[in-house]
Amino acid sequence: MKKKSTLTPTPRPQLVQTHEPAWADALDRRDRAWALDLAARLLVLVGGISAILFIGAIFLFIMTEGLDFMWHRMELSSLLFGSRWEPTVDPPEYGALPLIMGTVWITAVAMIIGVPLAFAAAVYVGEFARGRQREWLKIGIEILAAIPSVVWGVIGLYVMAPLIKSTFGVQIGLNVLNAGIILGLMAAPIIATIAEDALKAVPEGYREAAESLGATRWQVIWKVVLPHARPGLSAAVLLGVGRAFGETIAVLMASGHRLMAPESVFDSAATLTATIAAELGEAAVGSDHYQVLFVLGLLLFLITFSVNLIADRIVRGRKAAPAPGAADQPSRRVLAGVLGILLGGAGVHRFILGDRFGGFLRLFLTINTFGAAAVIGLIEGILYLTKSDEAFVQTYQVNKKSWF
Amino acid sequence: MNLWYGDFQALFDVNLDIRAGLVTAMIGPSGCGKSTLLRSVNRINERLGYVRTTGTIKVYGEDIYAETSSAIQVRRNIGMVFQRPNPLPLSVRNNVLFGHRLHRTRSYNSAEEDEIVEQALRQVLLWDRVKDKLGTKATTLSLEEQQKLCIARLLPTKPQLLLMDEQCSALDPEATAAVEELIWELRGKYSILIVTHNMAQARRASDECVFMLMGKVVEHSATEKMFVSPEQRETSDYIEGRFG
Amino acid sequence: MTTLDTNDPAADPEVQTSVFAASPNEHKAHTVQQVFKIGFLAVTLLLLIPAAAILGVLVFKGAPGLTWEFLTTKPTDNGAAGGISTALVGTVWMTGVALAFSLPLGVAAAIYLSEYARDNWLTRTINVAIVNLAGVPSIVHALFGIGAFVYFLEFGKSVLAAGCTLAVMTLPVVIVSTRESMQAVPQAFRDACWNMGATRWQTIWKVVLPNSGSGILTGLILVVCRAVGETAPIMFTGAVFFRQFYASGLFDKSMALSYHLFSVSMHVKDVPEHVPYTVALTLILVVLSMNAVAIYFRMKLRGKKKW
Repeated sequence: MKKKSTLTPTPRPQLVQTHEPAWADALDRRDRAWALDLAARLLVLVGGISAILFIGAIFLFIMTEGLDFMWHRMELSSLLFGSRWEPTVDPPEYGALPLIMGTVWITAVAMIIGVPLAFAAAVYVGEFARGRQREWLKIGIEILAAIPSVVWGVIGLYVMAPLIKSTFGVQIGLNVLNAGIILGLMAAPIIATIAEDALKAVPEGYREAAESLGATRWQVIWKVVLPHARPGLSAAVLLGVGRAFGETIAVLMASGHRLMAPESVFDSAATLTATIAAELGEAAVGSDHYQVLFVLGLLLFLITFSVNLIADRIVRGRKAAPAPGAADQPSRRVLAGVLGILLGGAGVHRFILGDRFGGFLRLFLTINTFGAAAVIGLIEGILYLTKSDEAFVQTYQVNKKSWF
Repeated sequence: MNLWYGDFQALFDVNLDIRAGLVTAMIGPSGCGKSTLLRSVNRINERLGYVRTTGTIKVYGEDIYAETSSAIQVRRNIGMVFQRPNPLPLSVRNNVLFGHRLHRTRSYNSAEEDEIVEQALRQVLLWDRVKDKLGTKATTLSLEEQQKLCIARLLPTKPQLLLMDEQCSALDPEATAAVEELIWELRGKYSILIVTHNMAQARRASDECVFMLMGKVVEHSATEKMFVSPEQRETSDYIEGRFG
Repeated sequence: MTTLDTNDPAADPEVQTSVFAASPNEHKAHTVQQVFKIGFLAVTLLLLIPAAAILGVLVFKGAPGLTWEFLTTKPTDNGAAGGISTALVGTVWMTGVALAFSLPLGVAAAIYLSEYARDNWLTRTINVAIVNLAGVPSIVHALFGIGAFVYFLEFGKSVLAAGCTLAVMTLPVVIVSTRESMQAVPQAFRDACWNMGATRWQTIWKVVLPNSGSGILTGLILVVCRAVGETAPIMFTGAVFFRQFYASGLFDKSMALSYHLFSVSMHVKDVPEHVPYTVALTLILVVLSMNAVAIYFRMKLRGKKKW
């Protein structure tokens, strides 16, 4: 290890003479590689934008299919709150309340079952399990996630239904409980994976700090990791809700598909998704029935859209560095955004932002255009949700920007 | 003692006596094992899972790696300050009370807790600056304040020994001076073992100095002596900046 | 042997004797930790038992019917008898179409997001769109497929329309898994390539893509799994209930495995008890073997990567 200085003087290198024109040529290299680069750039940009195009196209196509009905014959209140769904009776009744209730019941049961299972699995796999055991558990969760929904449906139909009948002594095995259990198990691996990511995102330094003070692993989890991961965990639950809410085939097979609002977990029920799947094949293309199913699809799309947007904002808002001073004014971004999407036609999002005039103006416009101006609220809601909290507070709460 | 990370041996027969109540600095080039040694005194190395040690580390005459010693009590009694300030994402007050709450044997009312917080923060010369924002998140403080807070949170469990791993390397010169001043302030009340890259700092802020190289202790002497008349050739080469 | 503070005059003798011994407090903390650890393990297993049970039931009830003959003969009697060959072939068609569209598009999008995109409103909007595309319910994808592919583009109810619907649905899967593996390629590799005067595309082609093959492969496998397993998006866009012919081209309809399973368990009369189980077993074997390949590649690559 005894080192002497090894620096010996070396002769200075001679400067190489360069000619001006050669340099200019070399710098302006519009050759084949350059052209290829440009082409590739445009091509991948198209790929990048495709996601936006598709999400827009989904909205557009579903809306246009149901537009005629929405425009002329639909009353939003009777669709949302009508208690009879009888599309094949004359005159037909399109009250989606039983379907909405069925969806809410089944999703709630699924979350009650799925969330605790998923969180426990996430904490165990992420924080306790080590090495080989951890790998195996993760593979197990992946397998659970990979089971196709129609297979889950078969399980609900042939395995769960007799089991529920004999266990609880009820007449019908295809009911809210059955579908809830199936959906809970389907959503659990997704929730668990996202929750584990949220736990993993807690900086190692926090764990080290807490352990260096003499905390046990559980104390670290309970006092440091879980509180810090809370936004990520709530995002996981939200995405789980989105998943359970949007599941179609398994629910159709396991819920019994009875078009009435359930009153207990042992009642059969129907969800929005299952109803579309069950009736679309029978409805004549372009008929009221066909169109109203697209309207239900639009409703599903808007709800899952908001749920996903919120979950995404929660996850991403966390990653951004905390800006000091941002807490001066609480941000109403999420609330205003969601209300804009759902109730934008009534101007509710503007009332929330303290803009009473703007709210009434939107309500007025909506009434006078037979609902078309509700699109303004929808667009505004989406714009709100894509902004950051600070930018939102600055733009809408401080500067009171009034349109878009 | 000897220490391995997997198959890699990081410490070789390290044999060291640290004197109570003094500030001891460990210096040496990157990868010489000084941080490893420091971390094994807090037993925080164990959380990596693939660390193996043989030999003993005695603090106050007791072997912290003995069967009867628990890592948790070791960590309670031997506090550790890390290179980057790492306050927990809690309020300032809860940060100070974190260790205390882990180890208390009875419940404390909030007045008693306030007392503990004030004492700890006063000791690290932070009380006047943060007394009005005890409820704010500790991660919003300046780096210097954060590092002082990290020292403060060790104090309520009454440790005998404080370990500091490059505690100033993330701080600017002014903050470094402030933290060094604080370390000097704590001298005598606690035994302090610091690891540093910065020889000037070792010289300024320590009573004794340990020079390590390639997992071995080369020289251990009073700071003044080491910097003025080192005994080993490697030490003088390193101090004079010939390598490292 | 390392000794610290062997003789500290300040330490009081009582502390000196037992300072590092575990305290009762700590015993309690350890017990709590152990209880939670075991409890959480139990709950995790509770979650995995159904997976094992499902596989068990399917194998137990379905395996006897799963013969080569079952896979290769055409169904008869509305699917209640005979085999599943037309459904299998139809699934292969639809999955192939889905892959043909979603893989190139998804990889292009991933390249854009990982290599070109700056943090601006466009990128943010794309990311939001991806998240939402992944979250759209499958039945809504079906509605979109009807509106866009069956009627607007006039594909009719066909393998092409069903495949396109599946492609839109699986696009986010490809984007996310490819982007992840591209972002895992160290920036230093790119810097090194740029510094030698390579264009951005040359860097991507020679450095980034070869190193993110695993992600593209994982994306491909996940697309296959989704496309094979999904029922709702194809049931109105190209899959038929019963048909004894193989699809003759992209614009022909076909049976599909998942929809076949749905109909034999829900609608077809007089199905022998084992048939749904056997079809389900076939479906799950396809999906799980694809997953196994994905897991195998992931493990192999993880062992190899040194950066």
